[in-house]
Amino acid sequence: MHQALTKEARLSGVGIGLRSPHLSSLLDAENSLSQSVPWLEVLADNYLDVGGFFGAHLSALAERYPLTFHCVGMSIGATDELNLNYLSSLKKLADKHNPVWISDHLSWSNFQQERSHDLLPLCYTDRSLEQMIKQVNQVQDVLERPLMLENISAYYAHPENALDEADFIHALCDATGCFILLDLNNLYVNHKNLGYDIQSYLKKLPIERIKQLHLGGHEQRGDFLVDTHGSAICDAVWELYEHVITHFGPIPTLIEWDNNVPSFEDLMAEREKADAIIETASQSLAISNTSRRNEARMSHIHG
Amino acid sequence: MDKFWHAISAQSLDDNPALQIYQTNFLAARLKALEYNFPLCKAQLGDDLFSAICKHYAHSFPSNYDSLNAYGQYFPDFLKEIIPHNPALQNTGYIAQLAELDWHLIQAYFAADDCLASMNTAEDEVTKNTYIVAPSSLGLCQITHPNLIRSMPFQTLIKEGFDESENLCANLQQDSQSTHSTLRHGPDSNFVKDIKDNEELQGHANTVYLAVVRQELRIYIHLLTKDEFSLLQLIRERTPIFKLDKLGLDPKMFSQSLNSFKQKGLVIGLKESQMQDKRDAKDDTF
Repeated sequence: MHQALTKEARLSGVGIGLRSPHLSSLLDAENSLSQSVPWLEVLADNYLDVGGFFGAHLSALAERYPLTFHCVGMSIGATDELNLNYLSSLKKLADKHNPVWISDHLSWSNFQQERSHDLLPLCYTDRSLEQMIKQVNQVQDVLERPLMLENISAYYAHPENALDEADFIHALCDATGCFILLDLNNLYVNHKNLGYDIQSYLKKLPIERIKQLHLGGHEQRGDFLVDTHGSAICDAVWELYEHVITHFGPIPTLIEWDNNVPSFEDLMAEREKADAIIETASQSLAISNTSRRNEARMSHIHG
Repeated sequence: MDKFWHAISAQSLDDNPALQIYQTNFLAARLKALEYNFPLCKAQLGDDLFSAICKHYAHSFPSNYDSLNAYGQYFPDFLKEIIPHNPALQNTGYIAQLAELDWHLIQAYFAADDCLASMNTAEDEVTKNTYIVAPSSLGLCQITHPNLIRSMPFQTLIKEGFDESENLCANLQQDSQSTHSTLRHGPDSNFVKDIKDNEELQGHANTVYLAVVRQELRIYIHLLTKDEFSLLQLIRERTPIFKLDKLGLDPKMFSQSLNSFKQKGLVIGLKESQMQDKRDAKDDTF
């Protein structure tokens, strides 16, 4: 089992996903907004075996910011064999830039030789859990790093499902030592689309394994909420975030805004909103710790 | 999962609205990739016609690629095939060649960086297995359509190339998890609207031979002679040097071409295809 990275401490606060229109702002040392960005999430698939300007700007960013690599191409829940060429390219990129975390999704996207380029929902059964454990272990062995897996948004639940998603994740973490990237927008979307019970879901997850949160926007399409990452985060997801941060602590968080990419200033405003929630929760936590200590001291004096 | 896959990859919409979302995403990823990988074609054909052709292609060609940058490999050939059967394309016979140019530009843009190799290998180091290395960004294409050859934007592109760093910052309007970049060459790349004869191209009245390559962070499109084009094709196929030498090429032209290729970054070094006794090839070096 792979040990958590020692660099984990480097990641805190609210990072943003790297989008090309923001590149010049992020690389501008004089830009006061970019100075407040504590870390960047990079979609690693865009940089696999790619050179030129893409390769050069990633190197420049890696010198300035701690990076996390987010992936969409492992297809880790597929019944096919893992794509070792993909993993080898990813390992090469990770060895070069040393990301704090590498994550992908609790999903599949490849079927035989074909690629969907989409994140497809898993069947939650004992058999798929067994297969997933095998694949996650294999990925962690190839990458020589622990993997973080994200819950996806879904519009369809397989009729064969026999396990609850949160139980499935818990069992997977126990068996492989992998970590969780909890996407709160996806959880909310699944609550609306598939009737997930958010509180029960959160209770079932091993909190100590949640190392990152994702926040993003969605759209209403017909009867479904579709996870588009193309708009601001909705109020309900902000409330959920506040709840999670208050109860689970200041977990490093990422603002995802991949489509209809906003101005850097608008994205940073969204980032600051999340930062303020972490700050408030940290202060409340500090106050409650202080009063708990005071109470203990008083009871010791009077005791 | 088999059933699910077949449902979402089917062409006709499923009755289940949840599966329809996956079907839409499944197709949209490929369409977006074609849009990004063939910007000149899109600008030339217009949104509606381009989108209809792309849907046809996406239904006919599944993606077997890890990266969507590689999706559309057969798009130029596909266009060549459908042009005679499609009345809407009758006046755009050049579109397959434009697609080929698009393809080489996008491939040059995303190609991996090459490891540095030396061109200065001593003559006695050259073996039967030594070949000249072409950069991974190199693309070769022939343009034969007169309207395309005479179009001003085409001539400008050949003359100036483009700087990918400028291009990226200026033109990337959006990128998503599954797609990458919008490469465009100006606000309206209407290639055959603005036609003008160009002296430089007069010797290429019937066919223009082009090499697309990335050097540093800039994409260049070099005009080649027919012989240079053929030589570069052989180099790209990793033909050993001693075989190139035996093709009966004029030694002066061969040497001049290689020097010119080196300067333009069209060749970047020498390599051995496999280890073999160097003594075997001593007489075959150039």
